[in-house]
Amino acid sequence: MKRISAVRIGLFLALCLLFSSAVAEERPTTVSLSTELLTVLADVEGLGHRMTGVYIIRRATDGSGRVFWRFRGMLDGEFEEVDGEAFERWSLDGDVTVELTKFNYPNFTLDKLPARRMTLMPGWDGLIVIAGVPLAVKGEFKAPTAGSSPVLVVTNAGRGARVITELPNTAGSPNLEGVQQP
Amino acid sequence: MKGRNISIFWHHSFVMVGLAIALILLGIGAAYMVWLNMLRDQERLNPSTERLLEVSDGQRIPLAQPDPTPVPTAEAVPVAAPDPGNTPEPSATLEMLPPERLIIPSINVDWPITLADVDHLPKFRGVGWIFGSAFPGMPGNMVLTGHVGGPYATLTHLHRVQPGDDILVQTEAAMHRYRVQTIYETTPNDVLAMAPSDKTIATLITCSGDWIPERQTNERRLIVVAAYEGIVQEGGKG
Repeated sequence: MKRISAVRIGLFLALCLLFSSAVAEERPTTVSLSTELLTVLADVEGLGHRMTGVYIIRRATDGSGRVFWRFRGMLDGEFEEVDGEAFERWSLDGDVTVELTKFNYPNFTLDKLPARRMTLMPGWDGLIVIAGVPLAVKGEFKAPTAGSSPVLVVTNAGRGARVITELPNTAGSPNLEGVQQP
Repeated sequence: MKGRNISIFWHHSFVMVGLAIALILLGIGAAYMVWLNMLRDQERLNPSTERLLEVSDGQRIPLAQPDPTPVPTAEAVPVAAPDPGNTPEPSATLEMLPPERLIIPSINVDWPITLADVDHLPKFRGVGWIFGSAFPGMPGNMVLTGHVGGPYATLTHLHRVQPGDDILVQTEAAMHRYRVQTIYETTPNDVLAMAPSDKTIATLITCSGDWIPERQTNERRLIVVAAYEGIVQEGGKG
């Protein structure tokens, strides 16, 4: 009698375990591509232009290297918005190669870019040179999920700390009344 | 013979009881883990702890909890997605996303926002988000500035806002609400208005006062300070 009870208890518990694991497996999971956000604030001058804006970069965390990016800001004070896709490949010693694969901008194709691939070598210490313009990068840039800073700040190298002595001059000619958006 | 059978019977019984106890312990452990996961999910979806923001006058304002539910709507997705099953998923937590639109319903303001430098403001109908100031919804002073007149005027009627008015700041993933607390005028060299803060505030700056032709600016600045209230809605572009 005791033997039968013990077997029954064992079977019952085994069923409980199977049931509990089935419940755990049935919990909803997301099918969307999981990404890590990297926000890059850029304010750089070079080649006769000034670019001020934000790159919103979403990097796939599944190891595929896919990168979805969007730039929103100003080029010489004028509003610009561009988006696209890229791939990033990290080597074990810390090299990263970034390749642009999509560039969504009216009347512009990737072929018009001077270079679609860029490799950053280890030991760059926050200084990079792009198209001959030395840039300073503040923040840690690492592979996805490896602990990058959530925000990188890119400015011209050597610019140093900015000293602000006056609030922005937001005046306009007094004769021209601003018109509100309808 | 009979004694040996009894011995085997008891031996088997002990093994089975031992097995049963082990399975009981495993079952309890597994059930506990499942219960714990369910509890975490419930807490994540229905947060019970109220977050409070203490503003300058000691008043405590309840903050909206960041909605943990991802909102993978097509509008909220930053880039063109080749197929819906493979779209980037906005994070459930409050992300460091830049402000993209400034909306002040009380004075009918609705303008795009872009990153700007104190000396390089937008040359279009847009509001500048001063480089280095706080992100929407993040602790710190988010400084927004717009022209009062001229072809790029955006904050012409900022002087009409009242304490308590809503200031809405849209990002890619959410609409943040700030509430006007303080309005004052100051001199152009009073850069304290742009100083960092340990509170979550927004400071709007535009020109005011008399026009000084030789300096091509106004003699004063209008400052509107607003305290963060929380997220109005997820899916900033929806």
